[in-house]
Amino acid sequence: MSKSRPVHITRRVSFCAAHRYHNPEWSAERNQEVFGACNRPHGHGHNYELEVTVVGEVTAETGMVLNLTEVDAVLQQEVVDRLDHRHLNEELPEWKKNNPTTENLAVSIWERIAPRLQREHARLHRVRLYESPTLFAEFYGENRVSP
Amino acid sequence: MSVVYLTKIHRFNAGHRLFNPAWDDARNWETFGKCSLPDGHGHNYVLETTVRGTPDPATGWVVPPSMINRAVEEEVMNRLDHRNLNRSLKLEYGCAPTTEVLVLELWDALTKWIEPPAALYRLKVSETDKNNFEYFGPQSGQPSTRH
Repeated sequence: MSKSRPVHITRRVSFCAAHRYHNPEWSAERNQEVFGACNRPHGHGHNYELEVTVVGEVTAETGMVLNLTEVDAVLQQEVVDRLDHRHLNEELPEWKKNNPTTENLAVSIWERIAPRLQREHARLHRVRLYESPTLFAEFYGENRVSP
Repeated sequence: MSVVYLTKIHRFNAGHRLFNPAWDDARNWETFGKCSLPDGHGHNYVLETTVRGTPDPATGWVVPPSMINRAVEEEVMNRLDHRNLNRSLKLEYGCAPTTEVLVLELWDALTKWIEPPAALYRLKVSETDKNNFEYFGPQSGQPSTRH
């Protein structure tokens, strides 16, 4: 059996955005009860930190799994350009109805970047999104769990 | 039996230049950018060495911390700290001393120092606070990606 030597590479990028948690099918009282301060009508914001991990074999002629400049370009276009300094509920159609929680954002970011980071020898392994230094959500793809 | 993961952190500094000697300057610049500038540059690397095992009933240790320290002292500090990685690494996994190539070589060097029944589980090398590279050891079977 041949051996593989998969290396995990992680890139960290920051963005800032506003959001609000609200379920339009619920009463004001219930929204307040469930979401608390996160339900205040004009929203609030966070400094998000995103960690994206790609796993794959090292290409001998570059010594790299994936050139970080390629990862940077994808993260700039799919994450920073779309989300940075935006009000997520107000400005992005996908969050008009669904709450842009850290969990939902992690899945949504996965769906946008996974196809663009797919290579013959490498693929997206994990999206970890920090809403604050004390809270983060991780997603490993549909039907995958933490290793 | 309780399996526990113990991690020790070490810091070292080294210089490198990323380029493929088989390529011309233009192709090196296109692939490696500033990392290929001829006189090299350096990083403050952070190495996290994680060992997996069951705490010894007599000591409560997975391994004596000195076992990890001695391994890192011999294999990392003495060989790489304040040195040029282009000269100090074997470069058998890739043409350039990328952090992918570094983490693969460090695994080969460090794994033999961890005495059974404990074993080296993971190495994580941060090149800057915006990127890091993890390796869990060779996997048997077809080259593929771990999840």
